[in-house]
Amino acid sequence: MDLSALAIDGLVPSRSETPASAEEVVTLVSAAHRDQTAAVIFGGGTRISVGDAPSRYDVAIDMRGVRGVVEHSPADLVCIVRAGTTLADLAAELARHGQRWPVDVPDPERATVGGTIASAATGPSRLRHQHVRDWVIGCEAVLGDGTRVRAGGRVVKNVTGYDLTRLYSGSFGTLAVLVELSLKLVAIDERARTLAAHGDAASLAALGNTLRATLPLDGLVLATGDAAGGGAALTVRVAGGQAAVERVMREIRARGAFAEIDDAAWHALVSLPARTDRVARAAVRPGSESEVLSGSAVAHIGTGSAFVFGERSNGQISALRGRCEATGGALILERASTEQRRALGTWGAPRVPAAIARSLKARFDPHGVLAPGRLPG
Amino acid sequence: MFWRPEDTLVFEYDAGFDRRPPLAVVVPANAGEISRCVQAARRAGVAVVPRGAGTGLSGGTIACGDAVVVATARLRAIESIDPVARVAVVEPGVPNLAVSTAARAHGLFFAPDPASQRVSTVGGNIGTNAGGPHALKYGSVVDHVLAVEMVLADGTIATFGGTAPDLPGYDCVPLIVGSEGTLGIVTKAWLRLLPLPEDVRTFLAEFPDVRSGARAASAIIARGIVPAAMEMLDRTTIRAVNAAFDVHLSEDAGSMLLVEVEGLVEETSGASAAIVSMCEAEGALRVRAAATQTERDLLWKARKLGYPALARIKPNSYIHDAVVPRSKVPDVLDAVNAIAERHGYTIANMFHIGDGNLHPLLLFDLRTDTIEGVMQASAEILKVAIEAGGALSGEHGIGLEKNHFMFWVFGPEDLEAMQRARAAFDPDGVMNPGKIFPGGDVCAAIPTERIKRGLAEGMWI
Repeated sequence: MDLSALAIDGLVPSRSETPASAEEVVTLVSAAHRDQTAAVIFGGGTRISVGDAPSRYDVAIDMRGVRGVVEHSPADLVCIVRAGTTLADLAAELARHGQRWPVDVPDPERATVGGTIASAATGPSRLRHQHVRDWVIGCEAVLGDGTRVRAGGRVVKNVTGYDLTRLYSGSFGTLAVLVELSLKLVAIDERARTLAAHGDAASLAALGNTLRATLPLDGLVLATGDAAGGGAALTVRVAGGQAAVERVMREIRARGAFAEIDDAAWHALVSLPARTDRVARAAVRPGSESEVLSGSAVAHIGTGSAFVFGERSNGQISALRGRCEATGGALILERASTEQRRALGTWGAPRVPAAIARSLKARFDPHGVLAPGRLPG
Repeated sequence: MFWRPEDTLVFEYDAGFDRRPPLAVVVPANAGEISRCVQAARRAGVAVVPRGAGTGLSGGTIACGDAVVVATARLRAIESIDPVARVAVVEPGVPNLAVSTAARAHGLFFAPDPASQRVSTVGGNIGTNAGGPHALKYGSVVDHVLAVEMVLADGTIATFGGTAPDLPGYDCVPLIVGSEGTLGIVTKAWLRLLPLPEDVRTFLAEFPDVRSGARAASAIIARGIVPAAMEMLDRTTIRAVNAAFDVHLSEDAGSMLLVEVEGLVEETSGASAAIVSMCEAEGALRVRAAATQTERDLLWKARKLGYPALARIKPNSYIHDAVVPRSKVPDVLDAVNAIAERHGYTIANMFHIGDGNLHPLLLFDLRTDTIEGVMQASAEILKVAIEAGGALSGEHGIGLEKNHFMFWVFGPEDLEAMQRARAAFDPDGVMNPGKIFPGGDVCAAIPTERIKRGLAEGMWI
């Protein structure tokens, strides 16, 4: 195994492990806890670059062997899946019963369910389906001291104790290793179509915000520069029953020169943040995503996320971060050169009170063996 | 601040069964005063129990041990509504319904709609992760809170989350929602608003019995159709509602589904047709649509005021909140009704059948029935739900009411993981002690607590 493929910001682990079961994950994490060696948890690697360099990195734990759909209860619109299952494999299994997990993220062939949840991955579909954490109803996880725990359950409404599953969501593998997830599902829409229009960025941004305000849409992406193939493009995803989709498409077409594009083009657009070397994500107030675009970039209108691509100077990144933070947002360096990450940090100003963040980390991972240093706190 | 027994009396209880007087009740005006209350309580060595409107059903706001109640009744400002970002910033004492009322001018609404929404507060809704009929389509409160400002156990005022998504660091907001005041006191909330649907259709399907209605509900969900709301009312409920309101529900029906679909006209018409045909296939006697907004409002009024209507039957009642996988609803309902019958209680079922959230209501009279008997039947009902793969609570919370039953669902390591999160926020356990977690003696002076603890420990194995 070429360990350099598992390097993070130039740090190469001394070994990699590929557990095939929750029990093996417990063994690995318990050993790390005992020996005080540090582990970084890998899924498909689409978002492994998000985070500061680990303060210590001995072992890479590749979760893709802990895979497979454990149980799908179509009549309950619920399934239980192992964390290393890719979104594409999950989708194929669920589609046999006409259902899906309504989370669209880059590269579903690589992205795993566990990694998607642990890294709070985002995509344009949040416009309709909101946050990935809202589609997880329970989990089994291994804490930093090797304790195997469950949270939540397999029912769609549940306030039986703390919702730890959602705390682990977005914790980037620093509190617990997710091994199994219970997911809430929806029926596959009868139709899903995509329309795109080209023009100047400002008028397309205004058009995008108008469409968002007046129509129920699945996704709304404004791309500029290279991400748009030059100029600017507004892409609209519509899904639902046939009659509803046809009506919404009609109303969209009445407002601009839209042409239909195929699913592959849509998925390529969704996948851009995982297929570009340099990516900064701006977290902003929903409705203002297009204000941070410059050069090659995409705004997932209505979701509060925009991605800025390509090499940018430290000064440019700092200026953009300053603008985002001044309005309560953030600029996260998702993919950056090691030098830039060291100079600017991944996250910018911390938001969670330091005492709480440190205490959560210390209690869920007492020896600091799960991806130490990657997340503030 | 209130401390005389006659002034603290109404703070001894919520809408559930447990009661105990607090040492004192403080009603601060803002986050700064709440912070000073928490600091003063800490100096005095007493615990702090936050309280909204007191409509809770699980004893979450009852003062155990030496505790002072901090009521949020004076924090009632809707600070702002941002129609573009679709966010309302509100104080915790704002009643749930007031948020939607204020948002309506912008074509928006706040989706969670617990039956108590006219009085229950946003702060209390956050504490219990409240739901309501429309949680079926839109999810519970946790899906609609973007950020909270909170007074922590040491008196610090901190903000978690934001209008912008996925800010750096741990996502504490969904941990705080549903934590029943054990992590701190929410002093401000940023709530997600949704656009009002273009079209709403409400209809009633009447069935000869509970089982056929439950089968229809399961079939609708299994088909992948998720209505905005789908409620079941059984015969006892139908008769009580008829007696209390001018709704003219058919008394020959054994059960009724109240179904609402929302969305574009094309979506609602398609879903309505499919739902009607599935109800008919499962033996519906009649399906009728609400023709006007007035008729729709009347049906929902009957649903949301159904519990007061049921209070006419017997002076006392005990409501449950278990959730079961949706496909198990018909069997679990049979078992629950059999338990009530065996114990000789009248039972009414009016509940969120679409998401499997049961609310069996045991009706009794404490002048002739004992609370021990009611709690025995209740524990049996919980056990049936848990054995079907369910949860103790869907929207009311655990509080004091079900904390001793937590180990029916979770192992010691699972509960200890929750305690780790608690300790990160409140290492000394001064925020609402004795709630959610099983064991501990802080609430042992409450007689009903002893009964439930005995049942929880005795019935498991």
